[in-house]
Amino acid sequence: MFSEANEKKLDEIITHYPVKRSAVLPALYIAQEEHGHVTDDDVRYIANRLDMRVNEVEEVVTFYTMYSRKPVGKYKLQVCRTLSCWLQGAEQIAEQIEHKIGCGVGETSKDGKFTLMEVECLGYCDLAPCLQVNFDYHEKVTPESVDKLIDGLKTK
Amino acid sequence: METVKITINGQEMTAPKGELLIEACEMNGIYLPRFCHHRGLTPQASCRMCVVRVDNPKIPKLQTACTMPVSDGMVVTTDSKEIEEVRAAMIEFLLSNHPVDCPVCDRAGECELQDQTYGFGEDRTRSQYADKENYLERQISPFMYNDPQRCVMCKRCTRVCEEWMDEFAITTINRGSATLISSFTGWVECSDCGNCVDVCPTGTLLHVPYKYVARPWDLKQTPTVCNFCSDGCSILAGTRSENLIRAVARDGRGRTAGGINHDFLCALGRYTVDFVHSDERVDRPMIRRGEHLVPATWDEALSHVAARLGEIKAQSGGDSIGVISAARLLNEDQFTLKRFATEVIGTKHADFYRDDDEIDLAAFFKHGQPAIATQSHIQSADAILLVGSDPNEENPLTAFSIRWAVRQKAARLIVVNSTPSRLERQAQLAVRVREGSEGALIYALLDESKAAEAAGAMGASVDQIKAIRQTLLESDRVVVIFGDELRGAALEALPLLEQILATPNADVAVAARKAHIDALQREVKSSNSTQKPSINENPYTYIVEHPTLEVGQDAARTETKFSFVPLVRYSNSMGAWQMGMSAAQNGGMSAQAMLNSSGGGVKALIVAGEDLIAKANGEASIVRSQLEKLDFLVVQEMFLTETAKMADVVLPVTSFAEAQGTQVNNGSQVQFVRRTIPPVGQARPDWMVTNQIAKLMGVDFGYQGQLKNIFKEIAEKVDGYEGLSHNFLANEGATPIKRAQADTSKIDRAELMNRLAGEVARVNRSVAVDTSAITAKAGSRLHNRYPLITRYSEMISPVSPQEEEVAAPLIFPA
Ligand code: SF4
Ligand code: SF4
Ligand code: SF4
Ligand code: FES
Repeated sequence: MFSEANEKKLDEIITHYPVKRSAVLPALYIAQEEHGHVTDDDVRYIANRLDMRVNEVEEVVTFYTMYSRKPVGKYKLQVCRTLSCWLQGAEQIAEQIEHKIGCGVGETSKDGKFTLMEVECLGYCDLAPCLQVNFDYHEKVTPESVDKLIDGLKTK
Repeated sequence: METVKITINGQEMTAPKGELLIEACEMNGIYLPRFCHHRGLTPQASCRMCVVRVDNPKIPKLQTACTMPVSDGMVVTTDSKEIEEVRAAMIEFLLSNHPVDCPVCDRAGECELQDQTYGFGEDRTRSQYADKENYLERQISPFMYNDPQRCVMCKRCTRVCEEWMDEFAITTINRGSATLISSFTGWVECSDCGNCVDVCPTGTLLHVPYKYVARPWDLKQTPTVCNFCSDGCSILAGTRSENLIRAVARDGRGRTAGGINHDFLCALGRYTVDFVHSDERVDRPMIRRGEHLVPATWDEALSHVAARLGEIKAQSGGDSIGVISAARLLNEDQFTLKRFATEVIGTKHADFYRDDDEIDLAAFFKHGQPAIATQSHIQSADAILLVGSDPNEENPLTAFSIRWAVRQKAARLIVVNSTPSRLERQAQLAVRVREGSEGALIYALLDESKAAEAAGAMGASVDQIKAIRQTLLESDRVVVIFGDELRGAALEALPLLEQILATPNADVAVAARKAHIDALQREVKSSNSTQKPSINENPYTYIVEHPTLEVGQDAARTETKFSFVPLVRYSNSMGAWQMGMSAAQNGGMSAQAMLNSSGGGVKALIVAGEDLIAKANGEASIVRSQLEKLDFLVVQEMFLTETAKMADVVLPVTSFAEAQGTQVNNGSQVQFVRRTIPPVGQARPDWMVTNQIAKLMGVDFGYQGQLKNIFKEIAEKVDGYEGLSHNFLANEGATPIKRAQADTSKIDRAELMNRLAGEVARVNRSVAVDTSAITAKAGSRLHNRYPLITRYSEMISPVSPQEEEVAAPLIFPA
């Protein structure tokens, strides 16, 4: 169900682990990379490949915020809302982003570029508030720096 | 049972060694609050309600009593300011996202969350309603509603589904405060057992048929016994205003009927009880006038039956009349029918209806009664050999017990079958064999030198047979569970296993078991296990040395190493046999034979509770024409079945919910069936009908119209029933019926082995071994067996989900 290259990658990844099912996280990344998000078919397919039950895979996908089960924007903006970031104004950051991209938390902007999410601790308490954009971290963000960041992404 | 001394709150107490502290406390009268702990499940320790302080400098923190085994000299405090505060805090947490909508919750009144809040919580909360996560309540399966906000995340439901049913149909989705119980598509495809709903401590999961139907405090709950398969689960039948509203294994307060099934029920036992109130019940006697059956009074109908039977008997003799009973009728009904046949009619043709593909008890009991295993024997077996049948589809409680034994007590399961079964997933060794060759296994077990011959017939390998033999030989307690696939000589030969596969000595058994458990634990613990652990495909198998299903019990065992569970088909097949209501015992014709000679030797039939036409499947038209040839046909029935439609007289009889009496399960345990509702319409119990016809025909059985007098006679006359009474059984629950043990010395071994060799030789080797992987839902064959009854349960036909609801399986975040 994956492209040939990705199938190969998965085959290879499976060999890294003593138990097949351990490959579930990388397998899900492959799926997400290929389809933009983890689709129903991906869940079924991965369960089948790794000798798991669909519900076990579903448990994993929905537990981690880095996986999406529904279509998301090109950039996933994840604002940390746990204590340190919150004390340092994470709420204003989220508000600013909402304002900037024109949609609320848990939603995707009209142009399909951005999805805004609030997540728990990103492990950057010392550099709070923190914003994660796809796999990149942006620490000590301010409403202004976020503005600039988004403008930059818009043109990319 | 080994015990230890512990001190709880300054008082010295004893408890079984290794027992969990929470259960040990309860046995000593100290109840610890809990949500996640359930005695039938592996420990979870997620709710933290059961915390206690153990007086031991090495354990400085509060401990969860549900995971801590007791040890000698343990000093525990369960009651202190500190503990009270923790409990209250936990309750506050749980309620912080709870809607507290008790007034409209079906669980209110029997809700553990309510009770624990009342008992251990505080009367205030710091949470704001606006902050609560909220998901709308919705139906998630044909039988289940889900109101996620009420959930306390104890995961009893998901564990039940996985551990008891091997389904894994529901699970936790999302994380943190957005976690909810759901499934992959949002719509749950499962065995519909409803056990997850029963064990849920809150109103999160709800039974669809019981939704907004009654308040628990308005229900009268009566323990009685399920009538659908031979396992014989106890149910708590909830009635209101003489209506049977629900059947549960366990109510919200954890009360059960104290039956052999503990907290387990299958879909049929739970969700089809509403058939008793079906509009289509026959509510009054009917007599044929020409083409039509017309209503009549009981007096008319009974005198008509008595007169016609009298005439036929006078004309053609007693043997021209046959009596056929359904194997689900209670002992009292069977016994009275048997007496009626011999004493009133004077016929030897009395038989309970046995399906073609049903175990032949006559062959199994030919040399006496081998040791019969009950559910607790299965649950504490060291090895289980399952040959034929599929308990998962036919006897769901037996399937549960097998899983339990494998998962919780490291039993070694061997499955030898010609069709797929879900139980193969739990098996240490699963061998698919040629259809009709199952008997060859017994042949090879009894004579090692025949392994190759048997393997050839079965389409299995010699190594597999050797492995089976080895496992049985070195195990201490072996339960053999079998279906009708074992017949003739293979069935008769079962008692011989005891001598031939006797364990060489106790040390061998101990060593083998230890080796097995060590291997399992290594497999479970080690991250190096490349293949799925043999115990189970689930790598999280947790072996509990002292499982809590039977709190503080010693493992049950029979006197012999081998014991057997014949998976007979109907709820009282075993009882019908014990009452002597079988052709083999009466020297008369079987039900089939009676039909074949109808119009010839047989002129009239009395059919109690069996739909002969429906049972004939493809040959319905043949049976129909056979019935047409009869001069007289009396049918005692609940519904106007195809057979009843052909009757000259139809007598309306009671269902299991209206009848009282005793029935015997496949473990040869007799149980008391209680009346839960008054008879529907003019229905009368079968025994009463028979008794009344007898009286009209001039024979008084001397029962004075009293059920208990029939049982008194059964206790006097039937082997194994000495000393029993309705009163005793009503209080004691399932009681084993022990009969003369099989005397293996009387068996002509050479002759038996010869016949067995013949059977093995006759196996058709051109048949391919079925290797398909389709595994049906629990109880599916069972459902198909009751088309009339399940038709009345609207819940059996799934209410299909709303399109958009399924499309959105509530996932957070985007
Ligand atoms: S009804 Fe039974 S099989 Fe279905 S989800 Fe609940 S426990 Fe699992
Ligand atoms: S649905 Fe019920 S049983 Fe399942 S986790 Fe929630 S409260 Fe526990
Ligand atoms: S397992 Fe058998 S006895 Fe138990 S509830 Fe189901 S049908 Fe009834
Ligand atoms: S009952 Fe012990 S933690 Fe839940």
